[in-house]
Amino acid sequence: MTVADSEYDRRGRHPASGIRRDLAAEIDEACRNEETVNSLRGRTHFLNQLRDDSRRDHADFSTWRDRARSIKETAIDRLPELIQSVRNALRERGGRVYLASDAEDANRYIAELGRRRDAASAVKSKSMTTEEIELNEALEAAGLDVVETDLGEFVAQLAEERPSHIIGPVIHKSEREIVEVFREHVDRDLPEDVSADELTRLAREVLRERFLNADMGITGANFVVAETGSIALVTNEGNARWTMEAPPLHVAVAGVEKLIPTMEDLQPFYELLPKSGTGQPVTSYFSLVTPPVQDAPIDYRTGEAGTTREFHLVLIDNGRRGMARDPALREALYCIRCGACLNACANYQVVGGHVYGGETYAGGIGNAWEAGVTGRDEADAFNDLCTGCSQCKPACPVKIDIPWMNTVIRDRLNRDLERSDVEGFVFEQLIPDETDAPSVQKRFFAGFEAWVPLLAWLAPLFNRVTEWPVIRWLLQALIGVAADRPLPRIAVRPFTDRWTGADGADEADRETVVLLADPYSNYLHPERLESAAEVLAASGLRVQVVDPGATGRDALSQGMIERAREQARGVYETLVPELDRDRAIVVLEPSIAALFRDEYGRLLESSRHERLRNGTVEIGEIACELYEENRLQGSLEGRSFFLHGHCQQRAADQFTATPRLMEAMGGDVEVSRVECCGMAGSFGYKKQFYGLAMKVGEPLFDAVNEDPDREILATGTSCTAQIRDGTGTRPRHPIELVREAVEIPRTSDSPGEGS
Amino acid sequence: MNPVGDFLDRASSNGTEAVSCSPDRLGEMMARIADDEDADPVIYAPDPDGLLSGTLPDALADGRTVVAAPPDGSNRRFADAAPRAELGVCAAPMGLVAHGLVLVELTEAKEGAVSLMPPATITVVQARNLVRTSSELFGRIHSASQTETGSWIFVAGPSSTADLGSLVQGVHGPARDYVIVLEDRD
Repeated sequence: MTVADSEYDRRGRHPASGIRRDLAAEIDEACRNEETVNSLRGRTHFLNQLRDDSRRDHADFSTWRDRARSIKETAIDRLPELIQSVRNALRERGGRVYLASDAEDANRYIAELGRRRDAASAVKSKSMTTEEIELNEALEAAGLDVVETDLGEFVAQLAEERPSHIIGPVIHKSEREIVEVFREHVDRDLPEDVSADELTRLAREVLRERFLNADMGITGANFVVAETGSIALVTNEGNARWTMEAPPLHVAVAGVEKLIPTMEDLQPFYELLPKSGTGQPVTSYFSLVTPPVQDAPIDYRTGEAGTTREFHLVLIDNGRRGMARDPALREALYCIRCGACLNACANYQVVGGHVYGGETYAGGIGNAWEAGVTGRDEADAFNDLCTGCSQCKPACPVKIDIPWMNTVIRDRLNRDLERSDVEGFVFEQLIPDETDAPSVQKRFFAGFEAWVPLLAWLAPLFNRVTEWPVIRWLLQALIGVAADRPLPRIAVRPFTDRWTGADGADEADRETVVLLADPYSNYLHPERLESAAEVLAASGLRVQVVDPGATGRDALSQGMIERAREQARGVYETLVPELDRDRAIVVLEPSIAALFRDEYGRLLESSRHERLRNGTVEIGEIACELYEENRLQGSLEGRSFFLHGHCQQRAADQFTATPRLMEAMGGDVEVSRVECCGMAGSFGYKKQFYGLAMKVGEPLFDAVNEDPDREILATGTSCTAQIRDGTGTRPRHPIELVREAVEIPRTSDSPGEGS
Repeated sequence: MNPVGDFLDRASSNGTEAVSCSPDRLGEMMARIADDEDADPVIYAPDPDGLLSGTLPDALADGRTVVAAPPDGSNRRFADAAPRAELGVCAAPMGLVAHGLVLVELTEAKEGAVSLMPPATITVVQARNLVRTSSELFGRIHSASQTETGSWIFVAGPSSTADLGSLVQGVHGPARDYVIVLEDRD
């Protein structure tokens, strides 16, 4: 039996069963809603632009990031001490701190505060923590009339929806949809073309009455200063000021992770939060309040001054102290809730936080939060939407490694999963893994690197039968490989079979570099490795080709950390003789370069990772260096290109050398501004994500199609496939163009994808 | 190195209409803004230095109702005027040059309400109380907090939102934000 969408509650759950809607169905529905997709894309892209501009304008940004990270690390280490400190500080001032163990405890305490003051109405400013504990529902059940006063939250409350974004609660709604909410709930006579100014005026009238008559004000807190008991709120509208200042009773609700030691520690956060969140240098208001504020509240209805203000700080644990002890989830506690990671996420930009989110928290960071405060089952509902593209990493002002947290959660979810004996037996033989039981689909994709050398033996057959509809149907039905996605064609002769080998005779006279024949390039794009080898050789380098075997990239993407670690160790052992000789490891596939430079830090001993990271050079980087040293000559004059860099290259700010090289050679290069192609390795091959991957790819497809005279280039294997599938063009790797430009006669067999 | 000039530039980029003047022109500047706003009634928060109570009632007395917040004025009169007020005036103990913003301190003089309720506000800050960077500002607040901790609102421009799709000013707070920097007497 299917349940109509309207029957699900505001948290996307069926009220009777508590079961969440099917993720694939939610994605499908979201992708078909062009109005929402356009709204989300428009606003998140705008916020990303503002954030980037704001960072560029502030030279100290990097220093503030380092300092903020350090303060958060220290604060979480010292949590018990800081909790005691804020208790003492507020007690001395006449305020009260209540440490709530969970949502029920917090809600009971706050409802009791209202009851003791005979409160009938409460005004609230935006707070995700109160969403987490479902405070509104609890207070309403206790007889309080609660109104959200942030305009976005106000609209969400009227529409009976939960916020879909940390700082933009209705970022998913178009202007037309917002007008509809006002027409339905505030004034039926509003014209359809009513302006945002007019809506704001209406909301202000409604809410000002509420502020002036409220018995209780409830805020969150962006930061809590343990030493003084001060709370800091970063806002633009002024509603948090009203909420704190107008009613006689102020309750601030904050997770324990919001504690920082001293006033001085606020400074980097004060700078980072607005720049990362809305791209503003600073917000209109930063309230730094040490409660209870000493001016007596005035009752604007009677003109009487109240006696004193009453203040309570409700600190919420609700799983946070457990997160602090968890080496993977601990980082989530450093989050300052700016929303930059959501804006940067390609999947979020399409489906928004109601689909890419749990009961409260959205996006990649939301997965860690849901795992920590709600439970692993909730995280399971949307963990796979993190593709590991890493665009969120540079966006995060406190340097949280969100993709890694999601990989660890995925690993844990794999271990939780029950599987049938048959499935388990078959896949255990093919893709053994220490984790208990990833799904068949995950095992299949995790094994690609291990399988592809075997498939190469059968390449002609494989390439032919995987075009048969019945085979594609079976692959989709049995393994979850999207039938609509063309499968990669496997080269009949991988590059390692074609390469005739380095000439060892003059080894002593020539500098040797190692060209890594990674499985993706070797078996899917041998022509790229061939071009790379020839360019390097033309520069006077001796090229040693090394097949590293499975690198762990696929295993990691499916959350099989131990398998990835084992493969990483294997790669290191293969390469260590070359590293011992101080040979550079030249990498063609950007996701492998990112693996060596970044994720191997989580898999290898630090000294080993350090060696490999320092020895790794991406092909564009070394080619550019060789050209600038005049060891490579050639011209791209008169040719124009559209160049799409791999998301992980761009996230690590390692995509500058290739465009520089091509421009130096006289090429007219337009660098793609699209952050992620949508494919993300195996993500776009999965049946449940194929549609989303193609939707995410639309801006890139449009950019590719914009100027048909430009030659299309892409550095990543999966980006290449995605552009091919979305536009019909066959992108080439920049190194192939460089190879043509330096006019080197081919020495080995004619290559070609899948030939 | 012109802190006042830098402050005015940055304040302007926040959407604040910021000017500087000598102390003896303060009344004139406030009257000009009140006239432009056609503001009546006007509420203000008496400041410890007497900058406003010594200047404002006379400067704005031209047919307007000017109401002081407690303790100078009565609670009842302030409660009656504040929700209708068209201009609020208060003094700021500090300003931050790096971001062109002022710090409004919350005291019994009701700076919070005065700087929030009306559709337009004027904040007066003395040039000698401008600090350059946020590090310096938080350093000072930290030092002060070792003995007594106050409450402040850092105000950087009008109340605003983009939640409804377009940028709108004047949501729950003022739509127009004026700052007057009082130049130091030589």
